[in-house]
Amino acid sequence: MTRASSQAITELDSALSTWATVATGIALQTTAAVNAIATEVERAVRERAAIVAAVEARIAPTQPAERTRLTRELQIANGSLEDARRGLRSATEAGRRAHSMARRIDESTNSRVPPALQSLRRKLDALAEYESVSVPNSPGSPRGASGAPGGNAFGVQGIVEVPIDHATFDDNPILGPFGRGGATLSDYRWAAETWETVVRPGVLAGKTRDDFARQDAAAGRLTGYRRLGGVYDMFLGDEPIQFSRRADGTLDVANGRHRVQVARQLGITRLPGRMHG
Amino acid sequence: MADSSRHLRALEHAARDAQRVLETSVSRADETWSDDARRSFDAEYLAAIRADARRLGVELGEIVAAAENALNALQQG
Repeated sequence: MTRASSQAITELDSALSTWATVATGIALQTTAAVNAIATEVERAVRERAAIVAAVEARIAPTQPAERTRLTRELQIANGSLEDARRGLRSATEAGRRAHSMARRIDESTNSRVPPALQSLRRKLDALAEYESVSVPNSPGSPRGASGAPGGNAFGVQGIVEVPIDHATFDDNPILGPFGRGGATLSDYRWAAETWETVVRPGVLAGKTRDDFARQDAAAGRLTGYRRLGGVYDMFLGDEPIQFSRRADGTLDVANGRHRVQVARQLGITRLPGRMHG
Repeated sequence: MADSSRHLRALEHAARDAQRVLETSVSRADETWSDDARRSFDAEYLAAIRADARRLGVELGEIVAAAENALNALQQG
């Protein structure tokens, strides 16, 4: 993710918000307009039915000469009533479709757009945090976020920050499910986001594993996967991600491909790991 | 009555315009953000919303047709 992608995220955010607002307005106005037409057609049906009834009432007691004219008048009134009833069927159909459309737009703007906007805003926050955190450098080592593996920024022997967009494992694809000790894909996502937004900045600011464990205890997070201490262990503990450099300069991931894949999906561009070769 | 019909036609155009604006923004975003995170975002969120936007214009076209049938039937009487 780059500054350019930050602009793209902002544009998508704005476009989705605008579409949701416009679509909601369209759905409301459509429903109102269709209801107005249905009301008008219903009134016409009532009026024309009343005309038919009035002509029928006049036919019964009348003389034969007058009856012929009234019978013709009744045929015209019945035809007019039938047209109005046909119009009412179409108006009812329009109302049914408008109702269905309004319900779907309501579902889209209230259930689909908000999570999308939340996701975009989380990515923007992560980008802002990424750009604001100063990554310490080792002499002679480039910053991790800039391209090549970085220095020992996290105070853990042998762990460096690695730009994961340089890593490929097409020759060693992920075959198994997410399942580190029973953790789910959702747990992995939570861990990767928490690493990026909480634990990494904390470690770079000088926090230790004990500090995160104390935060967990204070929040009542004593067991389970979703603990700051657990995230620390996942990325800086005994089983760090293992990278190695191939002959062509690309990075292989020998261990930790699930973590790398989830982080990439979240737009995270670098992770800590052990570099071999 | 004719006003209602014109209003519905205007709403149909507005729905199609809104969809075009959304698609234009998506295309512009494609140029600068096209990594795995973007593909994941598209699959999880954006694709369904774009489909909703497309469908809105189509549905409005059907509603306008039904409403105009109603009005035409009334005028015939």
